[in-house]
Amino acid sequence: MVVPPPRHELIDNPDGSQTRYSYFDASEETLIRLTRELFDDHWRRLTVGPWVLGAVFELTFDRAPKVTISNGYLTVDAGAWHFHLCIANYKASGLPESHLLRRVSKVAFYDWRGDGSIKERSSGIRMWNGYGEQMTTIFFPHVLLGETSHTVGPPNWENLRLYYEYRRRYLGESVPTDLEAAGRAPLRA
Amino acid sequence: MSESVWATPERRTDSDGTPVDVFALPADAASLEALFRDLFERHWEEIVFGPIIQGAAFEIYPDCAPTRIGLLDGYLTVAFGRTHFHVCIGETKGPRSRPTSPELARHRRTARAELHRRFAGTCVPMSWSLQLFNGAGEQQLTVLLPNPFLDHETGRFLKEPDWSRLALWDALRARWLGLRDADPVDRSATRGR
Repeated sequence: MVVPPPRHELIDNPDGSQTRYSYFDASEETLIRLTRELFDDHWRRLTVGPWVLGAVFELTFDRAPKVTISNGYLTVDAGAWHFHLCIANYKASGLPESHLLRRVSKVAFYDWRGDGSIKERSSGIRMWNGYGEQMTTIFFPHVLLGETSHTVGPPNWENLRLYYEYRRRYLGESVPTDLEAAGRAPLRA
Repeated sequence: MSESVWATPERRTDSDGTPVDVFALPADAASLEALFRDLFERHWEEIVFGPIIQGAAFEIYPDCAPTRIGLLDGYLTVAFGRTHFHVCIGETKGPRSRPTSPELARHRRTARAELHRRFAGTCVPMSWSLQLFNGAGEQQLTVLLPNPFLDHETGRFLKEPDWSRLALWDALRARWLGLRDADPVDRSATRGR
């Protein structure tokens, strides 16, 4: 499979913050590999849920989720909650075009910066369907995160290693030797 | 409240072709906080919630009463332990150092709150929900109400519909739409899919 080179985009958000996106391959094969790696191996340190202006869901895991795939839908089941994402062909009655448009059409790594403080920053992965609607955000460990996805500690730039490791795997970038310098660097298009 | 304004549904067609009856609810902060407190404090055992759009559905089953419901700067936070969400239902001003512009505040805030009655095929309702949308038309939240065709615990179809499971839907219609009588349309299906 020929994977196109990553495309980067810098967005000036309405609240004055900025988001830099680095898009990568949204094929079924890549998304299955990505989600299995993330939720099988790193569930303890991830938070997941849609994040739009005016609504954000922050779901964490108490135990390893069960990941299954059926009729084009990936299901990640954490017990008290679960989610379904359409990542491949879905077959059912109804309008065929809607079946195509419900599938993940874009996936990107994102870096978000708010007021420039350590607190107002976020890194992770975001997915959109063919209607352009955000399907979910996967929040990678924050610089202030403690040992789990629900504890806060002193700044630890080593927390960004997982994010940059996944950028290496899916974008072919090198993992920075100085994570703090990389994490503090201004976002560029 | 004028019953003729609130109680008449608008028939829409979802992007997958499914007909949906939409009943508009008041979208002011006081009404929405009252609605959320009613649903999450009194009916948490009956509901399933989370954003649901084409291709992505989050289904959160509360296993306890909310550990926190609070309103701060227009944002309502509902927490069940660590699992939580924030939804902007009122006026948000932002920090003094970086105040939120009126345009952005309108984008974030709930602009539409609606009761949805979704049909199977063209004629019989099969699911009932509350949905909220921000000022840009993005869905903030869906609350799935008890479904007479589904077992809440297993999610499996029942052999015969349990119409008592429409009690919450009926209560919401009565409280927010002034519709005191049950609607025969809601009970028109003979069995689940």
